Parts: sequence; C-alpha cells; structure tokens
Amino acid sequence: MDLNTAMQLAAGGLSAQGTRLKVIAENLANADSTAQTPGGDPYRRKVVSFRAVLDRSLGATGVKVGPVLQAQGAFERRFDPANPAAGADGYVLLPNVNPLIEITDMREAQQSYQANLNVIDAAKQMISHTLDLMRS
Amino acid sequence: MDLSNIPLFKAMAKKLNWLGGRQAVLAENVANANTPDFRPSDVKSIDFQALLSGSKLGGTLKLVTTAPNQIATPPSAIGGVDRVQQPGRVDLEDQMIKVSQTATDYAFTTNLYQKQITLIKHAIDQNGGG
Repeated sequence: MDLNTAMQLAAGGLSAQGTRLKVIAENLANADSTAQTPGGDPYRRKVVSFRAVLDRSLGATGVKVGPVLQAQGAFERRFDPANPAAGADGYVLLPNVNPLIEITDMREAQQSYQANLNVIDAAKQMISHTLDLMRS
Repeated sequence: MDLSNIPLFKAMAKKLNWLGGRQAVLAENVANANTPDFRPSDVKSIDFQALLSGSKLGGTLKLVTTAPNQIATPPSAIGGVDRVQQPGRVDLEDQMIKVSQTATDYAFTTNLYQKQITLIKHAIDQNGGG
C-alpha cells in the first residue's frame, strides 16, 4: 500500500535527520576539545552525508546516511604556552567547529524532521479515512 | 452487485489510489530534502474526464516484466502512477502544501464514497421495505 510506503520513506527521513542531529551534537560537545599530545591535532568537525537509495522492496527512493566525513578547514590557533596541548611555538590548535554553523545546521535538521513528521501525520490521516469507509 | 462496475465508484477508487501514490512520491521528496543532487518529482494527473466517459484506461504501451528474475523498472513502481521530474531542489514549503492538499483531497473522496454508499443503501432499503 502506497500510504505505508509513504510512512516508511518518512520514517527513513526521520532516522537520517536524527543521525545528523547526533553528529551536530558531537561537534558542539567537542567544540573545545584540544589535542591529547603537545602539538597534536584537535577534534576535527564531522559532517554527515545523505544519499538517495532505491529501496527495491518499497519500489521507492528512500534516504540513507552515507559515511560520516571529516570536514576540511584550518584549525584556529590560540597562543597559550601553558596549555598541555601547546606545540613548540606555544600555540594551541582548536577544533574547526563554528557553533554558529552547527546551530544553523541543527535548525535545518529540525525543520526537515518536522516535515517528515507532517508527511507521516498526513498518511496516517488518509489511512484512518480509508478505515472510516467501513463504518458507513 | 459489484460497485466497481459503476463508473463513479471506479473513478473514486482510481482517485484514491492516485492520491496514495502521490503521497508516497511526496514522502520520497521530503525524505530526500537534504540529499545532494536529488531532484524532486511529482505525479502526472489522471484524466478523470476520460475515465468517467467510459473510455479505456492505459492506452499507452509500457515496459512489462515477462520473467520473475527481471529487474522491475524502478521508481514508477509506486501505485502505478506516472512520475514527472520537477526542476530545481526540494522546496519543503511547496512539498508540505502538496502533502496537505493530497490529504484533503483524499478525505474529500472518501467522504464522497461514503455518501454514495449511503445513497445506494437508501435505494435498497426502499425496495426491501416495499
């Protein structure tokens, strides 16, 4: 039944956006995680990727989470020679996480999640209307 | 009595099926709203006028699978509705409007179906009651 297909596709969307939110939370939580060793690399921002995948059992294109990639981009440098993670020149490398970007990303994930929920709601309503036909 | 022999019921069943298929296609768009390079699609509207006037449906030739191990031509599989690729990226607002419109149309059609059934029941009652 197509309405069940719609629900399953939307559920896939929910799960994908959930994974995205998880990665964003990871980034935000590690926004200040410096290296473990002096002069080492700090936490690198992670980016989730989405792929459109044909689900043969549904006969429709769902969304799947692809590999979680590490974002390129230069680390921020702060002069702090007393820090245990500081290199020989006295600079500490900070993660390439920009909270503003993460929050914007989070809002987008939230919006897409809501949209998928709306689709599930609509499909549910349609199914219950179909079942109501039996009542007449 | 087979209700599907009555053109109006046949048309309504077809419409319900089409709306269900459309909802699945829209769900696909929304689920892939953030997928790079994904192009949204919609479904082609069926000619209900032709359906009601009693002409034969599906006059166009389609690819068919003749053996079970053949791979089905994929995305048009949903409810037998014909897809139309839409230009540009997935616009969530646009999709939401379409989703709610489809749901409303569905509710409208099921209501109409119910009314017709009630009408027929009344006619049967009249006969039975003498």
